[in-house]
Amino acid sequence: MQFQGEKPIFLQLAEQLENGILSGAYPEGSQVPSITEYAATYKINPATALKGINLLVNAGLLYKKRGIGMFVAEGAREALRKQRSEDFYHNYIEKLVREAKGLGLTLEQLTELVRRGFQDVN
Amino acid sequence: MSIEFNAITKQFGSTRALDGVTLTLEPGRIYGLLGNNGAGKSTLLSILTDRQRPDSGTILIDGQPVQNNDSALHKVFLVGEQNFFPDDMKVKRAFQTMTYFYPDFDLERAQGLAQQFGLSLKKKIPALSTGYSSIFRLILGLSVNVPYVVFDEPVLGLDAQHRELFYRLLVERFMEQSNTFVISTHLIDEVAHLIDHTIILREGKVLRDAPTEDLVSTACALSGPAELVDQYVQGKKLLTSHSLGGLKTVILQDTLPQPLPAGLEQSAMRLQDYFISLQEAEDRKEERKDGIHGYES
Amino acid sequence: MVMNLKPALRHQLREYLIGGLVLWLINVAIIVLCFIGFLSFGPGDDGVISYNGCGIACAIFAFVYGIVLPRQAMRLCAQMGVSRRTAFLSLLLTTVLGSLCLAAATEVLLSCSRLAARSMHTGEQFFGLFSLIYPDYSTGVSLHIVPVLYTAAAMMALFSLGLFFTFLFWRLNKIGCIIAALAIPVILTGVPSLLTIFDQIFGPVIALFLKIGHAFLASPWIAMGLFLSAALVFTLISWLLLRRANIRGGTLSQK
Repeated sequence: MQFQGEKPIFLQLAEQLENGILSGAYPEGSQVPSITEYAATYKINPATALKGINLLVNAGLLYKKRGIGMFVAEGAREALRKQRSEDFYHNYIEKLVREAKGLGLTLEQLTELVRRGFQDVN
Repeated sequence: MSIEFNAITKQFGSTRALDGVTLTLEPGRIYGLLGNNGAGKSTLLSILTDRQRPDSGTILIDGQPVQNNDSALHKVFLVGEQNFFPDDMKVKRAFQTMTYFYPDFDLERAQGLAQQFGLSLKKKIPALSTGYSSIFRLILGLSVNVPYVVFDEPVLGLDAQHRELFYRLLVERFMEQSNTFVISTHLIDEVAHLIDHTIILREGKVLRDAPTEDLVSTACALSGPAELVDQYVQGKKLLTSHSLGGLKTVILQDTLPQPLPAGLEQSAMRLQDYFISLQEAEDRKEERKDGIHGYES
Repeated sequence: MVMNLKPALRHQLREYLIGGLVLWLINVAIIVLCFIGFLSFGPGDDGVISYNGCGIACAIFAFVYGIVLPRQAMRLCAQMGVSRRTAFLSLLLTTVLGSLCLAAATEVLLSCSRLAARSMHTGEQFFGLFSLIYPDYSTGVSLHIVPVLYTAAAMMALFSLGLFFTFLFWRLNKIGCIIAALAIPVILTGVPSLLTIFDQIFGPVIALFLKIGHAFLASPWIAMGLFLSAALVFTLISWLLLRRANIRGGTLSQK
């Protein structure tokens, strides 16, 4: 993974971890890499890595076992999917509808376009 | 528990190498000491280790002045671009010598790292190539166990693979020991994510001294049609601006109210870009002072 | 105040003693060659083979190490978090301890050689620094102690002279170095000739010098006192020079 300049590193790290949980790379109940491993692998400051991971801990997606490490919480994947869908609505659907209204498209026309998109994009 | 630089001034002939530098280095952090050539980084570090004496000002290490003070000096290990080992000393013997002066120097680790980096123990130190002498120095810094380890240009002449390895080892060491590391370097991009605190020196003065995140998050790049940009950034703290035809990009030391009007685009800053903009802004200030008209006039 | 003297002293003394050992072994080799020479070719025209290099070699050795050792010591100590004051102290202790060791070893070597020469009736003569200057001096029981102390004192004086030159040139810039390089011989040759040219004015000064010279030759104890005072003066000046000096490292190779 290469960190881009656009977003703070800790957010990018959190996102990357979320993606791992969503894709099943880190199954529920399994251990995720430690702060040291993240910091060393990506050559980032451990405090930054901690900040990123803490985002997930605070959201209840990860939990700490004292002296052992960090684990993916039960139900984390479902919670993430829900949250991502919500984000999807805010980030894409609202924008899409706004743009569509600006172009004077009706709901039917927009639905037709979405259907076309589903066929064309694989 | 900290290193305090107090109004350090050092003059070489007519050039003022350091001009009232006041800084505090807290324990358990990784500091980046950034600045162009001649900004005073190396002079500051050699004063820290009492290799040079300042004209005025004091340095306290954990509350103790450094001058003629073994217990203060023993807490700092500086490896820089110069060789302070005897000319006929071999790498192996240098490691051995480290254990006399620093009883908890990790000799095994140093030897392991030498093998990992492919550094020959039988070579004399001055006979090492630039890259290998960098490796020699950073192995010392990574194996010594003192509260403050300072690297002056640690990756000089190192290939990409070994640079990556060094940064990785540094983080691991930092997690193990939580000593304070100071990295003085030109290669800002490589350490940008590593350093929690950035100190920027310019012409012997401290230009910025803040958490890295604060520095980059309080600056941003804004681009769009020249007219719109000019209008929008009025009263804002401008660092630099570049025009490409009608498109103008400005770097601001400021945050912008959201959302932005249509047509304007904001992007986050990389530390290196921020550093360059800052230097450009300072250059222009000086030009103005000298009565030379910059391109902005 | 906590001092980190031990490792610094250990390193400096080791360097000094290794050099001293090499010197000593060379002296042994020369003396052995003297014996071999005598046994194979017999005595020279005057019937005697003599070697008087041992003591002088020690003195020159001390001077050379006074020039070589400080730079190395100051640099290494700067790297190892040892203050310049402690580093300087380690140098002084090195010259005291190292010089005593080397002087003693040399005395042992000389005594053994003399003994061997006497028992083999080869008639060879071996002189140390002391026996060279005071051929008639005899101290009874402490026969061997005085020469050791004497040689060591001379070594300390020369070491501190080397120390002084090192730190002097360390502090001077290029032009200063050239001026000093010219000034030192000018003073060394100029002052005595000035004294003799204007002997009317400087009469008392010349008399004083002569008196010191006589005392030096008359009593090894006075000579030792003079050596040690010189050592003290040069050491003090050296410290003043070093106190605010910039300790620079060597450049690493740019291969």
